[in-house]
Amino acid sequence: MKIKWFYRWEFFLLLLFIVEIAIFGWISPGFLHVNNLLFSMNDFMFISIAAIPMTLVIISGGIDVSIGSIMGLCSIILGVSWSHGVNVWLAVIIAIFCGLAAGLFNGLIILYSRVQPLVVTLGSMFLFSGLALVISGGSKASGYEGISGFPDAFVQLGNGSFLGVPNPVWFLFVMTAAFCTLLHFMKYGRSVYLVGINSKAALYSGLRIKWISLSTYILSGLGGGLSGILLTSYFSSARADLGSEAVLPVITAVVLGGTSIIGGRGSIAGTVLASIVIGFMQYGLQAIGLTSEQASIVIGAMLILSVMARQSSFQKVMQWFRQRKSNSSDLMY
Amino acid sequence: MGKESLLQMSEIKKQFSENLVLKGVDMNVLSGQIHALIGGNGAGKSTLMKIITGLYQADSGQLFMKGEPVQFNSPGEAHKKGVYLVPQEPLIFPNMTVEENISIGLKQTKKVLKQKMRELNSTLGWNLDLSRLASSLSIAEQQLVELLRGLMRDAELLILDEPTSTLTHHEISSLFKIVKQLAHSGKGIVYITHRFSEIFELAHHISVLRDGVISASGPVSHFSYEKLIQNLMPEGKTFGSTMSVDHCKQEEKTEDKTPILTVKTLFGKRFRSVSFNVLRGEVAGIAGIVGAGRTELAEAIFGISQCVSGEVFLDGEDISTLSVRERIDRGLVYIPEDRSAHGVFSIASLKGNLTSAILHKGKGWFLPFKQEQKIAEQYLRQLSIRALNSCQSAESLSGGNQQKIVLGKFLAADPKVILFDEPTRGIDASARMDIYELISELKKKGISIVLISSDPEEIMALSDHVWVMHEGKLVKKLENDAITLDQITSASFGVEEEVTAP
Repeated sequence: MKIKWFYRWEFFLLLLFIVEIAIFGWISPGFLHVNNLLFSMNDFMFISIAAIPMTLVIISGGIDVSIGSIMGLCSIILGVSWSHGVNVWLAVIIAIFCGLAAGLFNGLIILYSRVQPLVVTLGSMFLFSGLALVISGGSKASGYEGISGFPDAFVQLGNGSFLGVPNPVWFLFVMTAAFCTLLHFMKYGRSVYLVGINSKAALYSGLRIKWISLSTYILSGLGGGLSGILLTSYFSSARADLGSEAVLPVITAVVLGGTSIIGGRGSIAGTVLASIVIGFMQYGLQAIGLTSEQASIVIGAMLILSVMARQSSFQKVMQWFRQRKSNSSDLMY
Repeated sequence: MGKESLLQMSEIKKQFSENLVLKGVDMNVLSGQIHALIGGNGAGKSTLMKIITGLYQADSGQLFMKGEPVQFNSPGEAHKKGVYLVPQEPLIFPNMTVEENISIGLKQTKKVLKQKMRELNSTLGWNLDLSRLASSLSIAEQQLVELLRGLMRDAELLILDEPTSTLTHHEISSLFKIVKQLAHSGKGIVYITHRFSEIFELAHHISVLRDGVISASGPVSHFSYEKLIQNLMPEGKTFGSTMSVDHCKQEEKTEDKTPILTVKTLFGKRFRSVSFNVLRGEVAGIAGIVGAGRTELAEAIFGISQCVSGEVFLDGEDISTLSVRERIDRGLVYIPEDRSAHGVFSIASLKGNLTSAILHKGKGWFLPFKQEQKIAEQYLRQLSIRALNSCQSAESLSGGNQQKIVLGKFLAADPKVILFDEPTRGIDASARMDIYELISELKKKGISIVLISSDPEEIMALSDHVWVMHEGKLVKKLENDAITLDQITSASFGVEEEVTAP
């Protein structure tokens, strides 16, 4: 059994990360500087932070494509509250509650309408972004300029650093630790897996399946809210369209991280690693002179290849297990 | 009436792994004949029909269509030769019109097809509007669509699989008219049913399938209710003689007379006015055929589905309004019939499975890993589950061991009453014996078991008393010496009611 960790997908992602850094470092030596690496992470931390709670949604068998719109909605609510004289930290709390409420809305509609989560959250994606634009229009902040001029303390949230490590990376640490504990060490996390594997069996086992799936959407809303706040601070501007292109990278990170799109399988570590791999790939390719369009081609190809690799390696593992089993049963009888 | 042989089966055999389902079936359906096929659950009816319609291939034996040897490798080939199965639940595309539903898969032009459909419709005197959306059809009308599908393919042999199970009384009589009409026009009809009254009203010829062979066959005039029952019952089985599991049954009566589970006039979608008591340490069997409403009743008692009215008491406490979790906590568990859909978490570890029903119990929000390992090891050992370790996934186990995992998961919840639905469905003989032994052990410990099973022998061997369910009602209570195969079988098929009714 000692060999098993080697076959884990997270290990492969770690390997991919190291190879990727090595190659970029070889092409442009400046890339390898620790500070360069750390601070370039700021550019994609909002993806990782939204992807972590999304992992729970997808493991439980759902999906939330409104996550990008939740980011924009929370951002504009923060900005509008602040510009109307609310203390900026209170505005942050309001934005967090707005994210939770958006998730609750998604979850309730999915539970009580019994429409597929993809369809419901596609709808709420338009609804939330429309709401954000209306709010931003109502406060005379035009959609693309946004609300700026936030106090320095708030701007430091996304741009400052602590002990030489940028603040967004600290956020990632905290989020990873919290959700790892929640998903892998707490009863709640176990029930999320069980619901994702077989929601009927979960119902027959007395699990509160409604509450469990509802709560994953609330957490996903929280992830969208935190991500939106971080982006607002990072750009020091609150805009309705922040995060409008975040949804696909977020789901890509979760799926590349080894979470099964039909639920039941996945890990926080995988999601975090995958989001970092994709983020550095994007950054590195542009650093060595590719346009962002060209970079997309490379990233798309890499995604398909690695998911294929995962499929085949998974089959190999299963084969190896079967052999083991037949060997040991030969010994038994 | 034509006397030409339409479909002849000769020595059809079929084996699934070690289980010989069909042991050489001979049957001959004539054109213009309504040939009733009856048999208990697991007698091999569906396997036989799947062979006739090309879904399965027989291991040996030969099919003859009008005297010519044929072999069907797919339903399409069977259709070409004129064999069409109308399934129990019509398979309709709800968002298409009747016409589209019927013409799907046919190669002629739309115009030709429509013409043919109209002709069929008028010759049979059916007024089915072809432009209606299929979703607006009643189940009886959906069956007409299925029949038309078969007739459009020039089917000469139509197989009707329990066509009346979902129909109302009025719909049944109009279906009978149609079936008779079709037979009159020379089609051969195989009519599968559980309802004896229908056979005597409709059929020309009866074949009884029992344990993979035709135990009796002949014109309907040669049969009576009693003779049918006689032929349906397993051969040479009388109460207590051949049962290998008879020792499981305890002779001494339980002293405690207070009921642990009381169900009072429970009404639901598929069952009516159900009342019964279960005493402490007692095995109460609920017998009946598939579709009698037994699973629906158990799920209502467990709180999965809602009942219309009535009450359920556990140990004197009214639990009718409690959630599933609260019922589990108070000591009522239900081990579902459909193991893979409702019982097992396939890709979860064995320990994850075994602790899933008690996850919420115990203090704290964190997973008690050590305790979990202990519980898993305890049940793996106690239920002698063949597994390498408690971390392997449940899907890697055999059916019997998976069933034990589901059983273990609910035993971990420390139940007082277990509703056990088809405990040995689809599992091998040795695991079956293990389960029987377990049931008697649990009984000794004072745990009450409600045993739902379609296998009358299983019911007889294990139960202290038996209720027989027929079409949603508990029609009979059998105790002590009255628990005989004969009694169970006849009550399951609702014979008694029909015979005594004028």
